[in-house]
Amino acid sequence: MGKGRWLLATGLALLFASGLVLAGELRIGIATEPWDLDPAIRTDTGSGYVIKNVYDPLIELDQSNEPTTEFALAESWEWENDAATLVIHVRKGVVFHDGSKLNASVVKYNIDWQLDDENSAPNKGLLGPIESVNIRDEYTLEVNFTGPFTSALQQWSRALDGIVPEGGHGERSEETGVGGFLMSELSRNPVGTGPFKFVDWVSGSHVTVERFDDYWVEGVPAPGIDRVVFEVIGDEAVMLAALISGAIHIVDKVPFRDFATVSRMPNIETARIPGIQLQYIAMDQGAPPFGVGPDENDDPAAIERALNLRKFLYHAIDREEIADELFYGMATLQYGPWFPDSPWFSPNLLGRPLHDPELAREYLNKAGPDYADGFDFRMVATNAQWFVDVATLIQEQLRPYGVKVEVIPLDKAAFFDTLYETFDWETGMEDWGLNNFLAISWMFSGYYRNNHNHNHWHHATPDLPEHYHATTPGHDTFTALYDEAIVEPDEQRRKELVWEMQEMVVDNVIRIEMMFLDNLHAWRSSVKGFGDGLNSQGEINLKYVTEFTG
Amino acid sequence: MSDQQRDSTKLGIKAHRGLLQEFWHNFKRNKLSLVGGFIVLIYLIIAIFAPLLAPYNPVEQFNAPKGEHNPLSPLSRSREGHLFLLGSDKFGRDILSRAIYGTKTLLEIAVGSIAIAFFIGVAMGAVAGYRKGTWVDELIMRAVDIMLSFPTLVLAIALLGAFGIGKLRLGPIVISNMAKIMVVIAITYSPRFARVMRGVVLQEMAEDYVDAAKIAGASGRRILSREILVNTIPPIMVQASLMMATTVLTSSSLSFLGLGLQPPHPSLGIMLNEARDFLFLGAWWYAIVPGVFISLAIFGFNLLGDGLRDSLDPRQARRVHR
Amino acid sequence: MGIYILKRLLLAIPTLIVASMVIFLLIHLAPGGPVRVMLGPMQDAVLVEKLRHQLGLDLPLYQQYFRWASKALHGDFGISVTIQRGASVMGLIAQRLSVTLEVAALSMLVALLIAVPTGILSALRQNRLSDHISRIIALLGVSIPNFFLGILLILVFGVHFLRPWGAGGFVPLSKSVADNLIRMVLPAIALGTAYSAVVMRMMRSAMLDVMGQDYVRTARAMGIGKASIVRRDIVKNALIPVITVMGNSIGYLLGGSIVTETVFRLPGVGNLIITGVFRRDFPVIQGIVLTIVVIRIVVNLAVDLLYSYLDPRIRYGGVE
Repeated sequence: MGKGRWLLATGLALLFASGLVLAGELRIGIATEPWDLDPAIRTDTGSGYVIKNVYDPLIELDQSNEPTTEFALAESWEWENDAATLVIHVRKGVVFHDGSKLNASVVKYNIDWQLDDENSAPNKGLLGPIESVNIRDEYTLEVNFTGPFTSALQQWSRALDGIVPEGGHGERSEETGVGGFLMSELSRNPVGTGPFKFVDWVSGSHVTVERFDDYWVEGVPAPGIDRVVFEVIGDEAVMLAALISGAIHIVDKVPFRDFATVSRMPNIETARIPGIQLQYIAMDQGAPPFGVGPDENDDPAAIERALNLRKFLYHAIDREEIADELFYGMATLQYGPWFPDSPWFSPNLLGRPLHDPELAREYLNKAGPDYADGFDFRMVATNAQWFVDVATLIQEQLRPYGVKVEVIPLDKAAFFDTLYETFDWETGMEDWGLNNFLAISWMFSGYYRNNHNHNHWHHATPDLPEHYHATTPGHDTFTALYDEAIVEPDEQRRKELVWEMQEMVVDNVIRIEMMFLDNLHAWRSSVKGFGDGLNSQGEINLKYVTEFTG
Repeated sequence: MSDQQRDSTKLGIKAHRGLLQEFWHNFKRNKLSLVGGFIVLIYLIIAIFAPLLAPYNPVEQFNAPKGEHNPLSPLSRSREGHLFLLGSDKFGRDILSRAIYGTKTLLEIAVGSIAIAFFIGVAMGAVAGYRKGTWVDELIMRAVDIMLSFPTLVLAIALLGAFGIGKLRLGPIVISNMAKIMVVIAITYSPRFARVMRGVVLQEMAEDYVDAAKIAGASGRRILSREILVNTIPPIMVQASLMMATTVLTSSSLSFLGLGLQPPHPSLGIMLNEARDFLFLGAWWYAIVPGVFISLAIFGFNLLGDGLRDSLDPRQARRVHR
Repeated sequence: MGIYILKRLLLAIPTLIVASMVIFLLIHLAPGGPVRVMLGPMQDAVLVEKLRHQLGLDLPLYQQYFRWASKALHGDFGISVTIQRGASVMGLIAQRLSVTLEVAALSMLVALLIAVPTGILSALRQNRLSDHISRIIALLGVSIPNFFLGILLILVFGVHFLRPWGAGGFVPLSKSVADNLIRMVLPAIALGTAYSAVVMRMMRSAMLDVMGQDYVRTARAMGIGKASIVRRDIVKNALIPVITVMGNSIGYLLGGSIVTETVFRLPGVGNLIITGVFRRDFPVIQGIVLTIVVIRIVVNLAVDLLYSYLDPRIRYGGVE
């Protein structure tokens, strides 16, 4: 062979070899870097992808979001004491990656750690009103609530979505200065019972986990998977290109505009699943125009005006156009604060007019001469993903009414600052992953309490700034309804109470909830069975993969 | 001052005045600068007459025909029949109209930034030059050095990072986003102006007519300051023109990065950023149109600046650094 | 000469100090801090206060500065607060700097490959048509913003030919040399082309300067062949100002790489600073800007010294 050809051959071989994926290595592209791999601390999605596969939850949810024991560490459970006591039977024969055994004492540790205020666990509230946690025997746990708490199972599926070994959280980092505050020993070194155990985490690049052969479910992890690499690829286009070329096998999501093209590609499977990403417009109800100022609290005319303007906005916005333009139709329009196809959603709300220019005009006129010919307001939006785009579309939709919307893209820090400190906003475009799974608990989280969600239904409380003075009337009625519903034993009656609450929220236009976005997934055909693990939360669940052929 | 002294001062000044005329003569003959000037003129016309030239409102969104989706290719029509000469963007806005208004914004920012940088830099440089060797000179030049140790874009990014995106609120004062961007860019470019100004002032002060005026006494000094300033104009104009080019580049880079003008404001940099998502879907016009508009502007200002510099006294041309 | 070096070094120090103060002040005056970003939607007044205290954000500004500055002197730029919690800023920068430097180096290579031959040719054929044409082309090269050039390259080559690698991304050299280099092709061309235009103009005018000098005229008068003159003396002497220009434009390359890294999604330092700005990660922003300024100052210093060494006129205490 001549020198030239030899060189060419070597070159080609190198090129070819470098393109080969290391056998047995499953690569997943995720858009955002994980923050914290301790399940009791994390709040972001990036960490969630890894946590799903390194840990097991105590209680899992099936694809219709009902509690299930599949891939869960609770073998069974029952209620006692009129739904005030939950007895959980912990699965036997489960070991952690560090060799320790799972039992009731371990689970109790997990619960107690979050209950301890010192630990500032973000999901503590989801655990519910716990009075005591007792160990009945090695594998039986008894949880006593202060009263009937039927939401327990769904909420616990999130609060305890990763069970850690006893003592696993370790000492909270007390280092003053930077960063030490919210970390635990598991944050960068997770240890769970899941089918994959942690190997390493290279900052800004990837997280590697490897096969855990002692996993308690047969056949999991699937044959062919030795190692899984979660690669952080911030750019959608780059991630998609990597999937198409085979450099990665699974992507966390597909951009809406590219979904049709990707679906047509050979060797790639796609799935479109109605999701829980709720897109909504929040309105500041502590100031005009969509709320009332502190001096207007007792002025029924002002309250009426604010309500009319909120209704105007509600009917002026064309959700369908937004869904078509930005999300290529892959979204579920909302008629109120819950999933429209759920039995827990009020049937009275379905079919009510959404985009209705005549109604919009009517309410605008009712708001009085100052507004009828048009007015100005601001819409703040984080300049990430599509939020500014949605705001821009709405800006155009309102122009014919003479209403001038100023779209203010803000980076995340300024965004939160505006909403929680300076209160310098009228409306905000946001989204929220609605993973409460119980209509009644959403009524609580979203509208009852003054919690971390900016107090949508304003009512003054001592621990919040004055800005949240009592505005929209009816909150007392709302809370009374909730208090009745939460202890109501009859399910149908409970449903009706929830429906009433939802109707109140819509009638008062507390927020404008527009649509749930579909989750768009894509993966290579060599990852067989992956589609079976997809759910409305958009999680990446490798426990359902049956085979990986590279 | 004696008649003789006054005459020699005037003579010296007159001789120097001749240089300005020579400059203009050279400029007219230089082909490059004429082409550059022509391009710049076109851009000025576009910027000033944007509302008349743009076929549609740059923020108006049109729906795509049924079954199609924005962005639409050039020469297609909206559902209602609007013609998109250069295509539409992802919201169904006319790209040509947005490019025209975007050019207007671009020039507004460039001119505004240069004007502010000019005042700051020239003032600094002149003071430093006049007071050469004193602590004032040292202080100003050290400050200039420090500012120059930051690469322009990095400094602009750091400043914008500090001031945040969008309107700037300093207590009761609200500064518009555009004004804020102009000030930031001006800050990053004023050190260069200062340096050039100081250099030119020093050069002028070494000329003969200056000595003559000094001998002539106090009134001579007044004439002197005016003359020096007048003679610094050509090199400063060259600098300004060249800086227009880099200012256009910097401001569109900032918009591209998401730190400058914010959507839905028509901005060429933003359009390029939006276009990135649609490259693989084949929407080439989305990127090409704003890119060409920006590049041609920079090209024009560069040609003009180069031409201006070459038209100056050739001695000067080689001494002036960039 | 020794005094000259000392003087330059001494000047660099206060520059650095003041620069660091400016950087520090700038970021801290910004509205909205890292605290709320860190907490995300889980906003809670108590948590906010706790976190603020932990991060030392409730201390007076000058105290915060001294804390930061003293740590920085030891190479500790603190810990990232919002980009990657717990990660040392120095570590993040070091890791990403290698990517940026690789792009910068390859761009310089591209620039040299284009600029040196064209610059020489252009100078030799001064004022002939080919000279004018190449000058105009160089001007065009400078006028096309590198982010537009990058997008054009993706459009033309990335979409059709280099499809899987055309969108950018990065593979470390340690993983695969081929994968790494193929993703560097477009970015290096994008950044290098704009840069080459600058270098070419410099090369051309430097060569013209040298060619007009006495010793060259003398050599030609003596009948020494044109080619050998070109090769030996003119080019070597013209390279001096070119090298200094290139050294001085390290700032341009670093700034340019911010945009290039954004277009091609390369995990370099430029990309990191943009993310830091959007996420209000003070330590990261400060660390990067300080690093860039230090690099700039060091390179300037090195170039000055190199220049004074190479140019005998300065070495023997001539014109500065």
